[in-house]
Order: sequence, then structure tokens, then C-alpha cells
Amino acid sequence: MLAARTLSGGMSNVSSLEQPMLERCVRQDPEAFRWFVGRYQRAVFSLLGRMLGPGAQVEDLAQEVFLRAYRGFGAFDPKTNAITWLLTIATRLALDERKRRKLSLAPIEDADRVPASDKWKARELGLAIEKAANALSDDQRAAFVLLEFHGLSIAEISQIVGAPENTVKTRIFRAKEHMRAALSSFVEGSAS
Amino acid sequence: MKEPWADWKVHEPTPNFADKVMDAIARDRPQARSWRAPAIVASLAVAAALGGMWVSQRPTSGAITADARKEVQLSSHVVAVLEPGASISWKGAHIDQRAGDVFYRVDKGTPLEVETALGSVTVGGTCFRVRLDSEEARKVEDMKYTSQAASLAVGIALTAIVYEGRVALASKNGKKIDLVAGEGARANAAGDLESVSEGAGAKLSRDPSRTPGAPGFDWGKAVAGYQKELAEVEERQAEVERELAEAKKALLKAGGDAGNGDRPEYDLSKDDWREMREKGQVKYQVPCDRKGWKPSSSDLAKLALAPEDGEAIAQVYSRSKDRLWSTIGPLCTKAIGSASAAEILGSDACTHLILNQENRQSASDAFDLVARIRAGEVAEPNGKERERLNPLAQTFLALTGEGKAFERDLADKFGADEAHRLAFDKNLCMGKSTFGGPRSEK
Repeated sequence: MLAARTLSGGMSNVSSLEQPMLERCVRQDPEAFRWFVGRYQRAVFSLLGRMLGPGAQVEDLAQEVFLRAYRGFGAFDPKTNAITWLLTIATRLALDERKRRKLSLAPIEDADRVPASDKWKARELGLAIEKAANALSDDQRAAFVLLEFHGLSIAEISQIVGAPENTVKTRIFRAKEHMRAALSSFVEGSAS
Repeated sequence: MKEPWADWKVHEPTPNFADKVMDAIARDRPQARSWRAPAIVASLAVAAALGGMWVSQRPTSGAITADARKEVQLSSHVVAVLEPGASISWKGAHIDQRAGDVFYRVDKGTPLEVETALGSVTVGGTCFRVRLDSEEARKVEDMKYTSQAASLAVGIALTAIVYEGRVALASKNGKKIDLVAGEGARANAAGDLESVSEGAGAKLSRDPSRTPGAPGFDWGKAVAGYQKELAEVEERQAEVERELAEAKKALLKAGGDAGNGDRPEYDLSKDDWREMREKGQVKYQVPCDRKGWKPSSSDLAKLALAPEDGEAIAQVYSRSKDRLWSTIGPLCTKAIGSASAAEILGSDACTHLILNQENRQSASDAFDLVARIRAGEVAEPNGKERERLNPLAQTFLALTGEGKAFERDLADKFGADEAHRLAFDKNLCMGKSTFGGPRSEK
């Protein structure tokens, strides 16, 4: 239902080089679809990884995203934005997956116990980010990831998650507020 | 200020992920598209049913000329449906087709050879049709192996259309072609072979098991047959489209015009440069001259790149800027007598400054030389030879060559196809310029 809205209302910034390939995908041309997977796999892994945390289910879910895209290409308008459409599928799947499994993400080590040597700093920050993101609600996390890491507009995120724009703005505001607070020690540390 | 979560690591795609997806899609395809197995089962079922009917009259040899559509069980594994006027004789696995249009259904693993005056068809389990123009074919048959045959037989053809499986069509002079389901080929009296299109195939009557009222007709089989044919057409269409795309790509690479209007304006071919030379123009696209430009996360999303790709793009921009400046910087410094002033002006302003130092004629000569070099009419000068050119020609050679150099650097990081797409994507920061000609613009 949500995907259908996005299909008809997506942005039209498809490059002239990309459109013929997308048209071939609509006709379920396997060669073109292989191109499509190669082209967008990083964006999909990036979104799912940040929505679900580390773990094997990211690859399984990424496969499912592309399978659904393949099945759904018949209804896709190649003039619209493929990435928004694909991220819609990925976001919905990630949210469903989190609800279905009541995800207990990979255990997050306590950052305080990690040695604070330079070698560990990046790892320490990574773990702290995961931990902070785990404290967000699923909806906040989705809106935050889509805005911060995929550069989508509030209107596009609103379409993807099926919530009014003002609600999306609030979710993003709260998510950022929480993330900044949770990671404040790292900001100070990097400034010193 | 950089947000602390900017370092949130991305989950990289697993190796061969695209292959895994394609395998999953192949497994996921609806059964209707995977027609081969059911078709063979259907074929066997028809053969079994007909076999029961014909069991007491299954000759291993014989001959027949049909005056109406006629179905004949040639052996327990071979059924032939003759259209009116068709004529065959058979002995074991060898059939001599003298005339007409005959559809054959052969069980898997059964060898069979259909010989005609114009060539033969060899199979091992398939459904196919052999058509021979009856009157003309008879003439050829009568003159078989005589030197007159070819000249009298102009326009005569043996056509084989394959519905299932694989067959080999061989002409009388030994030329051979392998055909798979959905393909057809024609052998003429001169022994030449040519593929026939779906359209040509469609002119022939369809599989008789799909013709209401015909022997062996069944609506279930007819529907399965049409679904199978549709799947074949779709596969063939995808194949043709792929070949067309590859041909267009090859044509563009060779400097031709693929005629699809897809080529960006600044993706210049040798023909474009020849045209520009005639107009006295030079144009180019180079990465914009903004210090430290890096695509924003929004730009990256529009470019369909991951956030982590921003750094790679920034590096390619930086290399491009250094490369251009290594040519334009010293020329500009020489022109204005100050390296620091040249640095402040930058590549864009320096290009105009160098241009303004030339008179109209020498500028026109420089444009002409650059356009000839890019059109491939004059060899590109090496380092020493370049230094002997006038400053404007050196500048424009650097600028007009930078687009390709930039694309090569992108290709090192993203692969050639992706690099080409990115180099002409409107979401990258690019400067486009046209100089000379009847109308000079910047």
C-alpha cells in the first residue's frame, strides 16, 4: 500500500543512462536486474546494517529486498526514483523484522570496559553508536538512518514510513537529541 | 561540526551478492515460466496416449502423402502431423520428407533425422517443424544433385522451426546450424543458411496440438503451449534487447552515434570533434574548480552511492584539480608573473587570462589543432611536443583531455560502467564550457 504510493509519487531525477536499464528491469530482464543489484546493494546493506545491527540476517534481508523488487518491478515507473522505492522496501522489511523477532541485536560490549588506546578508539565509538541506536524506537531509528545516511527528504521519509511529515520531524529531532547525548563523551574527546 | 554518529560503520555487501540474488530469483520463478520439464512430460503423455492408439499399427517403415491434416505415429517415440500436401517416407529413425509442412514430436533421447532435398534436420528429443515448398521442392527433388538445381530453385527454402529442445539443421553443401527452442532457420537451394525471425515462424501454422479440432488437441495442453511460447518470446526479447544495448555501447565506443539520444552532450565522440573543428569550436566538461569539493549525503543518495563513497569521489576531484593545475598553473604564472597570484585566480580564471593573451588568429589556430587532435586526425603530442605548443593550445589540450582522465580515475574505484555514468551525472559538480565558433559562451 505504502509502496504503491511511492511508486506513483517518486521523484523524477533518474539519469538518462539509468532509465533504459530500469526499463529493462521492469521487463524483468535478468541482465539488467543484475546491474540493478550491483548498483544499489551498498545502499541496501547500509540501511539494513544500521537498522538491524551486525549479524547474518542483513544479507538474508538484503536478498529478500531484491527479490521483492524483482517481483514488484512490473508496477515500477522507471522515471521515478529507484533508490527511494528500493529503500521503501528495505525499510518496511527491516521494521517488520525488528517487530517480528523483537530483535535482540548482537550483544553490545560496554564501551567503558574497552581499552581506550588509539587502536580501540574506533571500535569503542562504533560500539557506542550501536548501543545508542538500540535505545531508539524502531520508527525513530528508521527516520534517523534515512535522513542522516541516505540523504532523503522529510517528505520522502514520510512516504516511506507512512507517517505525517511533522511526526517524522519529531522522531528525527528526538533521535538526534538522544544520539548526541549518548555520544557526547566522544564529541568532547575528539575536540580535546 | 561533524556529528558523532558520522563514523557509524556501514555493513558491506557480501562477495558475489548479486549472484546469490540471481540464484534466488531463478529458484523463485513461477512454474509457468519453467516450462521445459512440464512440456517434456506433456510430450511424453501425448506420445503414450497416441502410442496406445497406434500400438497395433506402428510400422517401422512406410510412406504417406496427406490430402488433409493427418497425424501419423512413425514409431513408439515419434509422431508426425502432416499438413495437406505434405509427403514423407520413413524407415526406422530416418525420414525422407519430399514436400510440405510437417510437425514432428520426438520423445527425449530418440534420435531422428529428417532429410529433404535442401538439407537435413537431426534431433534427439524435441518438437519441431520442417516445411518444404511442395511444387518447387519436387523440382529440386527431381534434379537432386544436378548442377541445374540451384539456379532453378531460387526462392525455395527448407525451414525448420523448433518448439522444444534442440535440433541441428544442415544444408546440402554441409553448412550446419544448431537451433534451440524458439529459433528457426532456413536453408535455400544454394545451401546457404539463415535464421528466421519469430515473425517468419509465426507464418507457419502452430503446433497442431494447439489447434481446436486437430488430432491430439486438448485445451490444457493448448494453454500450456501458449504459456511456453510466451516465455520463449520473452526470453528472446530480453536477449535481443541485451544484444542491442551491447551493440549501441560498442558503436558509441567506436565513435558512432547509437541514435538513442542517451549520450550526454559533453560525452564527445570523434565525429563531434570533427563537427566542432568545422565550426571553430572547442568544448569540454571538467570537475568544478571548488577547493575540496565533496558530495553531500544528499548528492550521494541521488548518485546512488553509499555515504562512504564520498571520500573516494573527493580524492578523484583532488587528483583532477592537481592534474589540470600542473599544466595551467605554470602557464598562468608565466603570463602574469606571479605564482601566488595565479594560485588565487585558479584554473578557470587562468584559462580566460591565457585566452585573452592570444590574438584572434592564434586562438583560432589553437582551437583547430585541439579539435583535430581530439578527432583523431592529428596524433596527440607527447610531453616535449606539448611544451612547444602555444600556451592556449596546451591549456585546451589539458582541459579537453581531463574528462577522460577523470573518468579513468573514477573507474579505478567504481569500475568502468559506473565511472561513465557518474562522470555525466548531473549530481556531480562539473564545469562545462564552450569556446570559439560563431557564438562564444562560458
